[in-house]
Amino acid sequence: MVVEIGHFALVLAFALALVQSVAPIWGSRTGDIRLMATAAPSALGQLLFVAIAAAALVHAHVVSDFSVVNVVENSHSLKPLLYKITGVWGNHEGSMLLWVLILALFGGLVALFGANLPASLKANVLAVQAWIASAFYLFILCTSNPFARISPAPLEGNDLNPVLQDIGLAIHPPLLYLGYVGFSIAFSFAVAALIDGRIDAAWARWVRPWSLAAWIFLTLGIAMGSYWAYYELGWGGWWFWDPVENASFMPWLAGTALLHSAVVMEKRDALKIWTILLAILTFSLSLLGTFLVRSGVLTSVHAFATDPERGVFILGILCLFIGGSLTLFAWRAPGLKPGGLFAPISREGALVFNNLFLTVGCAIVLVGTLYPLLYEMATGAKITVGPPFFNLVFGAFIAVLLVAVPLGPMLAWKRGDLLAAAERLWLALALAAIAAAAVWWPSTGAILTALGVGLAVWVMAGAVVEWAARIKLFRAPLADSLSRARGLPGAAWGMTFAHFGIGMVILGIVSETSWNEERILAMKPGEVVTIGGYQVKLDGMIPRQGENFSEEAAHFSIRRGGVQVTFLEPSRRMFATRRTATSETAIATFGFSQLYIALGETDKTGASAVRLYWKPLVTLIWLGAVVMAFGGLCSLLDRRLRVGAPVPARKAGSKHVGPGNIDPGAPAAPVAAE
Amino acid sequence: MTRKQRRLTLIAVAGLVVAAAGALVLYALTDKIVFFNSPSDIVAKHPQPGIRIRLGGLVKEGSVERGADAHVAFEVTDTVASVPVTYVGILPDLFREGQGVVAEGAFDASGKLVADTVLAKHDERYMPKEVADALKKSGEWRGKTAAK
Amino acid sequence: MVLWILFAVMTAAAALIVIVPLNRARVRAAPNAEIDVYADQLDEVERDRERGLIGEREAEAARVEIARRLIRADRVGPVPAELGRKTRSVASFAAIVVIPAVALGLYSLIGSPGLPDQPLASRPAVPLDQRSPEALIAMLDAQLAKNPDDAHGWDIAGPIYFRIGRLEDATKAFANAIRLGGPNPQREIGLGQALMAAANGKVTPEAKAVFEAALKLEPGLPLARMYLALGLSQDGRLAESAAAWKALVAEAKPGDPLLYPAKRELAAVEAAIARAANPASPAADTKPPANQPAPAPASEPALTGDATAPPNSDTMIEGMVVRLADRLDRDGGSAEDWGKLVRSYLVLGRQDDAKTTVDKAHGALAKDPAALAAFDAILKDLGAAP
Repeated sequence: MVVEIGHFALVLAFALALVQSVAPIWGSRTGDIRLMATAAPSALGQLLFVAIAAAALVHAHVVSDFSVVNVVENSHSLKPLLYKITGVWGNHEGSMLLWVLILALFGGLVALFGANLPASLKANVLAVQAWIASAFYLFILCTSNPFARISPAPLEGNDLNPVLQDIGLAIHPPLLYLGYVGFSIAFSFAVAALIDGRIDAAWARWVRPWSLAAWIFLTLGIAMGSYWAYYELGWGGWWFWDPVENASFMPWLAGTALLHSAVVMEKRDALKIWTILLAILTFSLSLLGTFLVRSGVLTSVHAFATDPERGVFILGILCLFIGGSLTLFAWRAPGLKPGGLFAPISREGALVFNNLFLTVGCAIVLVGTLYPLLYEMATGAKITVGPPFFNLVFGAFIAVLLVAVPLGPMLAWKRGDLLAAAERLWLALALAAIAAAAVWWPSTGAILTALGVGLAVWVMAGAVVEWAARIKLFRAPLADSLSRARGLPGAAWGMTFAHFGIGMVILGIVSETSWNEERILAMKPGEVVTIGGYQVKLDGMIPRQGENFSEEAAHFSIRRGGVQVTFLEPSRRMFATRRTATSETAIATFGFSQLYIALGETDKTGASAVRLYWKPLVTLIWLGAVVMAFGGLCSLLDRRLRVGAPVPARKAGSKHVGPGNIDPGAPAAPVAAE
Repeated sequence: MTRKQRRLTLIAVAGLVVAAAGALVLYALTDKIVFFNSPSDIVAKHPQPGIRIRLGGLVKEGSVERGADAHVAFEVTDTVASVPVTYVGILPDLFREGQGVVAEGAFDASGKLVADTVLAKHDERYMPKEVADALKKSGEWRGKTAAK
Repeated sequence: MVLWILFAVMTAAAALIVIVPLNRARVRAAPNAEIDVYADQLDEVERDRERGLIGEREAEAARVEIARRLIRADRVGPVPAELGRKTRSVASFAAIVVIPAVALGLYSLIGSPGLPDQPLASRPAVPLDQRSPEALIAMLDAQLAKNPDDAHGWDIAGPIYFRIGRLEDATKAFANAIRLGGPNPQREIGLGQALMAAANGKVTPEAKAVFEAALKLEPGLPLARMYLALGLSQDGRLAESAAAWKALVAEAKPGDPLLYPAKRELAAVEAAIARAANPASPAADTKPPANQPAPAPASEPALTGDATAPPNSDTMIEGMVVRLADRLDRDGGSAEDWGKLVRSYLVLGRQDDAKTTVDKAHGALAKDPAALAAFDAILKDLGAAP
């Protein structure tokens, strides 16, 4: 019964979404406030019903109800409970349900916390959300129904692919989807503004927190996915320019551009039309990503759904929304009032520069991702556009942008002075030059590495210098600086962290690619190999039994200067149910660097194939992303971003997040997620 | 500058950047792409040594030879033609004889593909009937601990 | 029924979600939030000026600009309107009709309301013979891991691992069974076969030692002698091999399943000896001369009867058939077991043995009419009507 309740709840959510697609917008066109008022309850109702559906599916997986096809195909009664739950979204149908659940979640949040949005804007936004939701409900119900039943029920399931039985998979897709789908809010706001034909500075201020939240999740999701590939696939690579990775990277680039242009729009009332376009493009790229992943149109290690019917359906959704919104844009955008003026050298100018390079970078990734598809359609020959292409073209463009990162924040709004800005950055420049020289001197010829390290230091030091200038560090008494730091708005902190994080990522990438050591060899117990200054000794093999697998682990002791520092146990797991083996890597972290061991097969002589890597500063790549996301969080917590200002006297507690309502008279405290 | 001039400047700069990007993309697309081939294609076309290609097909039964220090040699076949491949490293978990595989690398002078990447595809589940029967009998055995 | 009541409740809730706001008595107009945003911006200009990012003049200009927008925003307050009662009822009616119609219509197309939940825990215990092989293997693995000291478990696991191709595990299982339960001929033969299979059918020195151990336990054990004879021919000791096969053939009773393979191997070995002796090489008793291309590699001269099938595995199959026939003769077996033996003989092209087996099976199963019927059905499938 639980399964069918979930199924019916999903159908009801679709019905409700249909009503929500029409009623509010009818209200906003005719100016009827009651029709508009149906939007918020409908959105919350949708959330409720989708949540029921999702809970029912999770329940079916947990109790191993093999009368549900989705459970049969992706679960197994002996699977550990954690992976029974994560397996819900480890497959196509379940992940699409997660997609609409998150979409409904964002719709519900707008309904809850948008109490002080202009009524017509809120109605339009929620109606557009409902259009997207309806399309995806229909897609799920028609082509990928997770509640499809089978009778008589099989007695056992097929199990989840062992490669996917990992904690990384539990976190990675939900984060990524929170990011992808979060940008639907920006899209809905953009379309709503085009429908209303009205856009102003306040609009940007409403869009920014939503986009920021989506961007934070997307950043973390991409970083998480990268780390998952790094330790699970056992190749030691952390980014493959795989189409599916690109599919998440493109919305990130566009979303980053959107965050920056929204600042210009909010502060200077400029770049309005461009911001709207970016909002549309960002979500369109999210949809494109969904299409690429879900249709299996591009061969990729991630594609676990290859079904032409689904592909065509998603392609239809894609064309409808991207084509429709761009047509609307072309029709309505010329009618919008153009924005304010600014000199080319100014903060606005710097942000335009940022946008230009981010969008061009995004376009480069798009071309590289779609080119094999177009080429195959045109000539029939299959090609791959791989890392060499992206590293060269994207790398070159993004490097130009990164050089400019510290300069932008130093420029004043409206009219800036590039020379003065550069002058204030002399310290950062000096540090970068010293770092580059320190790299270049001992290893003459490694000019790219030296430049890369210099660039990383330049970006990081630039962020710190800008922060120091804001709080007048060492130029005012320390107490004064501290109080300035306390008073610094969250958005300023956010920018400092985000830019510093970028520098960390660059340093990690440059260091990992330039100084990474790799050893592939067959080792026998007792053998010692030296890598990265560590002596790695294979002590022996240990057979072990896990819950649904058996494994052969290799015990390595790691010594430095004769002293044992740690040990590592990579293993090969045999999953009897799918008769597949997986290789579990073992990683030891020393400072920011990592020693990485993957185990291969053992041959007849007792020697095991072993792959060892020394990855200097590699963790900076992901830590940098976390720091960037933390910056986003600081910015999100900024009081000023909150939609409207909470007037203590007003009796509207709806702005506050959290369990239990909040005393309406309480002083305004920074609150997340608005 | 007037609004119009500013806009023109902006468009000119943007155009310049886009043009530069386009040029770089076009250059890289002629130079950095990798063709995907089947063994028959390879035999028909005889690619030059040194050019990167992707080779897809099945791992030929009985062709896998493991040498010292994680050196592996195998053949990729599409049942019509087959191409020898050498690889140093740990093969992916799903690599099996008779299973799908994609190897990427360049040919050496002797016509062997020196692969630096090997990807495996796999989706076979096979269980002989009599084994299934024996298994059912095995289910009756519970061991000492379960018997308590 | 409960299900349909719940569906009705859910549908009603969904419809109410739309209808209630449509018919609420009073609707509060949203405040003009734009004003707050501009007020914030004024604050920020002040902060920027203080920090020295913008000069006094720019700050003043910015303040003026924001103030202008502020006034405009204040002026364009939304003017909420309301529909007439009639339109409202139309909308409410539409919600009442559309939501149940879409939901129930679509659900009736794709739903399975008649199918109850079937969580594994509450399902009747699954009879073992209905479980999937994968599940049973997993169960076996788990049980072995839990009871690594139970020889009986290893006895069961050995043949299974052997036949699903997990040869290393099979070797381990037989070895464990011997270690824990003491050696017996069956275990030794199993171990030997697993070792052979792992070596692609070659009787390795290790396997040879195992078969010899089996012979010690049961002197004259035909299967062990058969594999040893095979090992001799693989080593090129053709004369000794021929002698061993001859002895096996001589001892076998008529109808003995071993007879046929033994005869075949004997013929092959003798043919190899003849071939080796023929082109004027007196030393060919032990090894075929190097310049003679006809018999394939020196290590297995006698067994190259068929060019495509690995000859040794053929013998292995026959070894397994022999074991099955032995077991059925001794202990009897199910209709399937008998059927399998018949099929094996047919596959090996041994029509006579197949016929004998059919007769034997009919005798053995005579007391059980159901089994007899099952056996006849199998025969029918095989196309070998009794």
